[in-house]
This record gives sequence, structure tokens and C-alpha cells, in this order.
Amino acid sequence: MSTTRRGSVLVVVAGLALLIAGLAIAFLARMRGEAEENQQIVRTMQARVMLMAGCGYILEGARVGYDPDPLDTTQARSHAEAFGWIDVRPAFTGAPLDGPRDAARAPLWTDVPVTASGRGARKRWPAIGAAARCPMHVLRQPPFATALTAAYNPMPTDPADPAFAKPYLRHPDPQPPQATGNGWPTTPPADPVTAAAAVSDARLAAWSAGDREPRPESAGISWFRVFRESSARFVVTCGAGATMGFRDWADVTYPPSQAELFGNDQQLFERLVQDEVRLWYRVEWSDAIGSAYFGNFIDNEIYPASYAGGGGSNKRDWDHWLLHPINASQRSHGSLRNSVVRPNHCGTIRWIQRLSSAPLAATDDADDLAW
Amino acid sequence: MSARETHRQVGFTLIELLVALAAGALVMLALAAAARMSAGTMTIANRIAHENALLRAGLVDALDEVDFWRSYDDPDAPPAQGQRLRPSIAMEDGHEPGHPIRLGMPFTPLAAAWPDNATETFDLDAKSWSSANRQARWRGNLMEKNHGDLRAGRYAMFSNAHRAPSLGSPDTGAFGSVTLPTERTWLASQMRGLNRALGYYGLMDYAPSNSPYAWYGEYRAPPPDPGADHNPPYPWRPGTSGHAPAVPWGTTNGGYDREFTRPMRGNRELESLRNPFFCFLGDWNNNNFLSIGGGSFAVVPPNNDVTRGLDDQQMVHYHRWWFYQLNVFTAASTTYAPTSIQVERLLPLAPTTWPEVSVSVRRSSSYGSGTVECGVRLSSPVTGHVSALNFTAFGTTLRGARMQRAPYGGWADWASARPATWPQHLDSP
Repeated sequence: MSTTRRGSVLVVVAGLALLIAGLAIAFLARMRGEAEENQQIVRTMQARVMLMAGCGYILEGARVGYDPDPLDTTQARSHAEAFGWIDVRPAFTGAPLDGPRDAARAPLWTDVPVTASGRGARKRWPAIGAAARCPMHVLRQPPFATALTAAYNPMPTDPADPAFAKPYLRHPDPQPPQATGNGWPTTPPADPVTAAAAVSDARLAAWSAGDREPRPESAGISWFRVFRESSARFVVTCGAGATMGFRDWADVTYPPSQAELFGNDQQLFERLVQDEVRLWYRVEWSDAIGSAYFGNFIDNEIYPASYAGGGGSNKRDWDHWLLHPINASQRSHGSLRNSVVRPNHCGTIRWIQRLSSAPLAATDDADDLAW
Repeated sequence: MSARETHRQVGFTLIELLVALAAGALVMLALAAAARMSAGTMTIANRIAHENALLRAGLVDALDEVDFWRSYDDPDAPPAQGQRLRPSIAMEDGHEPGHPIRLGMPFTPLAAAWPDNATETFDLDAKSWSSANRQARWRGNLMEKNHGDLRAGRYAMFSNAHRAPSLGSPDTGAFGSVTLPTERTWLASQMRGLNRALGYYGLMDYAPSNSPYAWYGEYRAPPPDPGADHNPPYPWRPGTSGHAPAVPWGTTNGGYDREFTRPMRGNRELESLRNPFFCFLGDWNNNNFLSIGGGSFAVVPPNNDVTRGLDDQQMVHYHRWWFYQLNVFTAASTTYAPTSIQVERLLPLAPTTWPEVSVSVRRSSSYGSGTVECGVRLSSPVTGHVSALNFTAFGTTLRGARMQRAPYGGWADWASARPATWPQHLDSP
């Protein structure tokens, strides 16, 4: 083949290769753009999921126990149960009291800053004016974790087994994970007497503390932050990104500084802030519980015993029908009726308001937060 | 080597030329086909990418709507176009001359539609509504019937929307007037006021979860003629077999507004006039409407195919109406879907050859829970391909949306103000 012809072939081949390369680059660029845009959507959705998480935190936070100061190891840990962000127990005089309070109505918060543990003068959760920061990574093992074993006491299905079909409760259910368990064997058969002898509380402290190390695959994805604005009103900040719920660098370095979480690199933190989605919502908690089902408690349909039937239903004019006890099964007039109550011990979120941007505090003081 | 031979070596023979031309033509054809395919591929890729981008834009638009309710009330638009759910109407039922019943809609400022004869003005403070507060406790007899004989007592004196109600009815005899303290009027006054000012969805949004939608007042006689469909005639929508409003329906013998005493299983309307039914959210749908489908209450958008062009009176009516959502065989259910949904084209001015994206939102209360249903629908006029993304969302509630809005148009921008200067909104006194 002559040089000219070889050159022609080369031109053709190069042209084809260029075409293919161009196509590939165009596809890659398009895909990358798509991925980036999708990532933004994913972050937005992740942030919105945090609204649910934040509201759930507020609901449960109305009732769960609080220590006087979780970081102050000199104080006893009581985890005293609380009775709502506004104490639900009757206020016989005056307005209802702010919560959370313990059984003796003593406040489970303090407005007095505790600086002995090296912290600044900001109020501490759950006081009004304080914020809780909640990065939503998964812990390696939460405190007081229980194992995911579904059935510790399965009934034998072999008819030859002397325990066939008998629901013996040989093993406690649930149980701690093996790594921090109390030594009770979880695999039947086991002699309960022998098993009980092997139980030890040597790992109780480890079990109660858990392992708070984040699982890497879950870190840096999302967080929420709850600021208690008044008795029952909160600002929930929903974030999708890696800032772990710190407002800004000043918040990171507020005593005790946690700048090492970001390698003491302010620029890194601020880039993370720029990359993440933040949404602000104002919500209000209510002590009203979710829907209970009174359909059978107030049964308008069941005829009284004296009703002879036929023609009409005039005897339904009576002022009382049948009161079915809650949590009781009834058979009446050809149908089974169960009273159902869906318990909710945490209250409800009464309203939600999206804020257009981060709210302002009353002052510019670093200890005066608004979210 | 001769010159002829040299010439033959540097040139093409005819055969070579023909073969070269044929091969070249084949290559060019292949190239053209490849280029055409590449161009087509790029076009399709671009189109899909644009469709994906439109879907994303639709999703963002739907979520923005969830949080800011612009389809229902647009503070940036002129009131006549953007704020059609703010007016209220007044109607006289003859019971209290000079005090017409004022009925509002979901975005009516509370101060504009609160009953002028209310014993208490509206009070939305969380501590006022706390179960620890005696005034917030519901007092009544759940077993009391429309035509009952009050054998369990006259509860209208323990809770009433009036300070000094005149109690009694023709069936039970006159009882006289009693003067009630605030503790016995506050809750009835709040519930009645919220219902009058905001309509059904608004009442359910504002009242605490699991509230009994019932309050005592003075006895008012029900209308004598329930109408051909066994329902009392509507004052503004004659002939419709819906189930509200009940203001002209009168009260039970005990003094309940019969607006919320509605049918039970058995479902014959004359019967329902006799049998009450006290409305807990769960009870309302699950038990008493079981045989006729679930009831739903919607914030009815002001500019959909059903409501566009309706007047204030008709819009007020729609916000006091419940829908039988599940029973698809009733006329009311076929009304539910188009009446309660807001569908908007994302790009209303785009050429018809462009993919069309529509975003829909429906806000309703069904089966005891407020629900926001969203839909993003993309249809391609070129391929006929349709993609739809349907989801429920969690965001700003009606009360939250009302607090985003200034009473006379514009936004109430809380975030830009210090707490001491927080702006006025639709719930401000």
C-alpha cells in the first residue's frame, strides 16, 4: 500500500476514533451533569427525611429521661422520666408548667451554664433557648442495644420432642448482643439453671455505653438540629451533608471545641457547608395523642335488647347505647367487634412552618441561638 | 525501468479505482450511518436528559408547593387572583338577629371571621390548649342523641359556646339560662370559632389531635323539610347530595350543632337526622362510614377545573363538604378527585412539541390523618411516553402556611426578623 493510501486510511480511522471519543466524552459529560443534578435532589430529599427525624426526636424527647448534665460525670445519672414539653399533669393553679419535669415536678433542665466541664455559657438542652445537634450516622452499637434475634424461644416442631408445641420461655427475650451480653446462651437447648449461673454483669458498663463510633458508610450523610424556641415550639434544621449539624465554624470551636472532627480545617468545614442542603422549619408540639379508635366504645348501631326490630329504628333515639370496654372483644348482633386503641405516649406535632432561611436570634451574642 | 512502467506504478488501474470508489463509498456510507446514529443517539440522550431534568424540576416544584402552598394562596399575586381562599361570607340563621354567622375559608384571617358574639377571642397558645389546662378539656355526653331525652344530664351547662345560654328544647322543656365561667366556655368557643372561620379542614388542622368535633350552644330547631334527598337543603347549592354545611341544620335536643352529627352505618338520611355521631378523626371514617366509604376533607384549590370561576359563597361551601372517597359508585366520589386536586403545568408557555410536565397536589384529611398527595407527570408528545412520580409529602401544615402570610398580602418573613419584630400573619389578633 502506498503512503498516500495509508494516510487516507489513517485519516478515516482517526476520524472514526474521534467520533467515538467525542460521543464518549459527550455521554460522560452528560452523565456527570445528570449525576450532579440527581445528587442535589437526593440531598434535598435526605434533608426532608430529617424533618421526620427531628419531629420524632421532639416527640420522644417530651417523655424520655434526662440527666441533669450528661457530660458531667460527677453527677448521678438518673434519666428521670419526663411528662411533656408542657407538663401534662393538671395545673391546679395558674398556667401549665414548662417541661420536662420529673415525677416530683422538678425541672430536668437548668438555665444556669455549667462551665466546670469546660463548656461555654450557652444554655443546654432541653432548656428553652438551647439546641440539640443530632448527626444521623449509625453507631456501631447503640447504648443498651438488643440483638436482632427474632425468636429466642422457638417451639419445637418435632412431635418426638418432649417439648413439642410447648411455648417454654427458657431464654430471656430480648437479650444484649453477644459482644456485650451477660453470658446467657442464646442457642437452645440450654438448661436455664445452668445458664443463669453463667450470667455475669461484667460487661454491663460496656453494654450500657455501647460503641458510639460511627459506621463509616453512614457518616456525613445527614443531620438535624433542634432548637427549643419556647415551651412547645421548636426550630428544626434539616441538613444533608457532612457538617454534622454544626451551624458554622464558631459553633464548631465553641467550648469545648470539636474542630478536630474537621481536621482543624475551617476551609474544609466551610466547603462542606456550601455543598450541603439546609432547610429550616418551625414546629409546635402538642400533648394530644394520636387517633384513638372509639368506634366500638361509642357504638351507635347496636340495637338495645328491647328493640323488637321491623319497620324502623325509632328506638335509636335513646340517649345511651352500649359501652364496650376498651381492649375487650365483643360479639354482638352477628359481628365481632374489637375495641382498638393505638397508644401514643409522646404527643403530636401540631403544626409545621417552613422558614425561608435561617432564623435570626434576638441578639448577635454568640450564646444567643435561634436554631 | 521504463517511463511507462513507472507511470503504471504510481497510478491506479481502472479496476483499482472502481474498487477504491466502491470501498470508499461503503466507508462513507458507514460513516454517514454512524454519524446519523450518533446524532440520533445524542438527540435521544439529550431528550432523556431534558426529561429527567424536567422531572427533577417538577419534583422540586412539588416540594416547594408542599412547603409554601402557593397554589392555594399566592401572597405575591393580586388578591382577586391569588388569594381567593381569604374572603368570608355572612349568613343569617335567624337565631341571633344582628349576629350573622360568618363563614371563612382556609386562608381567611382569623380576626376577620371570628364570631362576633364569641365568649372568647381566638387563643392559639400551646399552654392554653394543654391537657393540663382545665379550660381545654372537653365536657359532654358522647352518648347523647339528636332527639335524646338527656337522661344522663344536661351537659350544655358544663360546656357551651355562650356565656349565658338559654337551655332547653321543645322535647325536653325549657331549662332557663345559666351563666358560665370561662373554664366552661373557652373550648366550645375556640372550636366553634375555628370551624366558622376556617372550615372543616382548617378546624381539623388547628384542633389538637383526637379532638371531639362537637360543642354545645343554644337549641336551634332543625329545618322542617329535609328535602327530596333526605338532606336539608343547602342555602347555596340546592340539589346537591353532599353533607354540609350544617349551620342551618339546627342542634340536637342537648344543644350540639348538628353540623357534626352525621350518619352512621345504616345510612338512611332520615335516620341520620336522628342519630348523632361525635366526630373523632378515627371514628369518623373507620366506623360510621364503613359501609359507604371513607370520608375525606380537602383544602379545595381555588383554580382547578371545578372551582375556577366560582364565587365566594360556593368556595365557602366546598370547604364545608366531605367527600366519599372510596365508594367510586357515588356521584360524590367522582367529584372528589377533580375538586380536591390542583394540577399545574410546569412550563405553560412551552411549545407543544416539548415534553409536558404537570405537578399535582392534593391536601386532605382522610382516615384520621392529614395527607399531602403529590404527583409529577411527564408526557412526551413525540414518543407518547408517560412517566409519573406519585408520593406523599411531609411539610408545612395549613397553620404553618397561614403564619407564612401577612394579613393584607405579601409574605410574613419570620426568618429575616428578630423575635421582637416578628411579622403579623393570618392568625395575628
